[in-house]
Order: sequence, then structure tokens, then C-alpha cells
Amino acid sequence: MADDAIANSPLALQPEALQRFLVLYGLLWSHGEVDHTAKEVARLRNARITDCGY
Amino acid sequence: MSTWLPDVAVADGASEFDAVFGLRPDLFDAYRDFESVFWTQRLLDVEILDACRARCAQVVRAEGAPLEPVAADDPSSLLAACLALAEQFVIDPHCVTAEMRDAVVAHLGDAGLVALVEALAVFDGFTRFRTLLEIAPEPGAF
Repeated sequence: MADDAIANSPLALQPEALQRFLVLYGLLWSHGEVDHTAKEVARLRNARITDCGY
Repeated sequence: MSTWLPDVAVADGASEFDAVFGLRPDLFDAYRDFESVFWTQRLLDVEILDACRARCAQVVRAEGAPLEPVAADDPSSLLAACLALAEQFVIDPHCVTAEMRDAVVAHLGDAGLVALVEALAVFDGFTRFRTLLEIAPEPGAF
């Protein structure tokens, strides 16, 4: 995880929570009923609505 | 009891939240594992977690949220700092100020601030999840 930007983010200050979050987030993106394109569109739309700079 | 989802029945002793989220058991298990870490690993005091969860529920007008505003008696307390951040996080995180963050860090340090913000993300996100799907929360949640 050393190359992962998230590992160098403030989230790494809580490593136990980060590890569990990454499992959940990974599952969300790698499995499921909703196709990847729709998830990505929803993610981008969410970022735009919330004015996320990332 | 059943939810508005036609094929989802709620077993005795379970909640609507369990039944609906359980439609994706792998995700539900991972969610449980993540959500529980704040409590089981004592990343924050239980009093702080409970109060912030209640305040988030009030701000988004969630079913079952406490009627009386959740507030701290001492404005310089840890609880007051956490509640102020929790409220603004739900309303508009862009308006969380450095002073709000510093007030939490003064009590909890940087790691404590991270734990609080992660917990707020869970409370806010899954309160909205329940509201949107019109499902009742688990006992003790909102």
C-alpha cells in the first residue's frame, strides 16, 4: 500500500479503520449488481454536486 | 413486518436495515466490520459517538432522531467541539473552518480528528441511506 496515495493521506492516522474501509470500498467497486460505468458516473456526479476538488 | 421492497422480509429480531442491506451480504459484512471499529477499538469515546450520531440524524431530519437538540453544556468541551464539527459536516463540509478542526485537535489530536470525520461520514451517509430507502434503523441508531 506504500504507493497508494491514500496510505499517505490523513486516513493513515487510523490504520485499523483504514484497512477495514479499504475492504468495503474495494468490494463496492469490484463486485455487485450495478455496472462499473454507472458507478463511475455516479461517483463523478456526486463529486460535482458536492464540489469535491479531488 | 416488511420493507417497501417487495421481496424483503424482516426476520424476528432483525431490523429493516439488516434485511435490506443484507441483500448484499458481502457488502453488509464489510460495512459491519468497518462501522464497528469506532466502537470496538475505542477510536472515540462512546458518549461522543452517540451524541454525534444523534446530531447528524437531527440535521438530516431522520426518522427516530431525538426531538431535543443534542448540545454540550460547556462550549469549550470536547463534546461541543465535536458537535459543532458534526453539524457543519452534514450541512456543508466546505464551511467547516480551521477553528472548528483545531478545536477538535486540541482535545483529540490529529488521529482523533480523523476518527471523528470518518465516523461522521458513516453516520451521515448511512442515515441518508436509510432515509432514501425508507427503512427503519437498527435499535439504538437513527
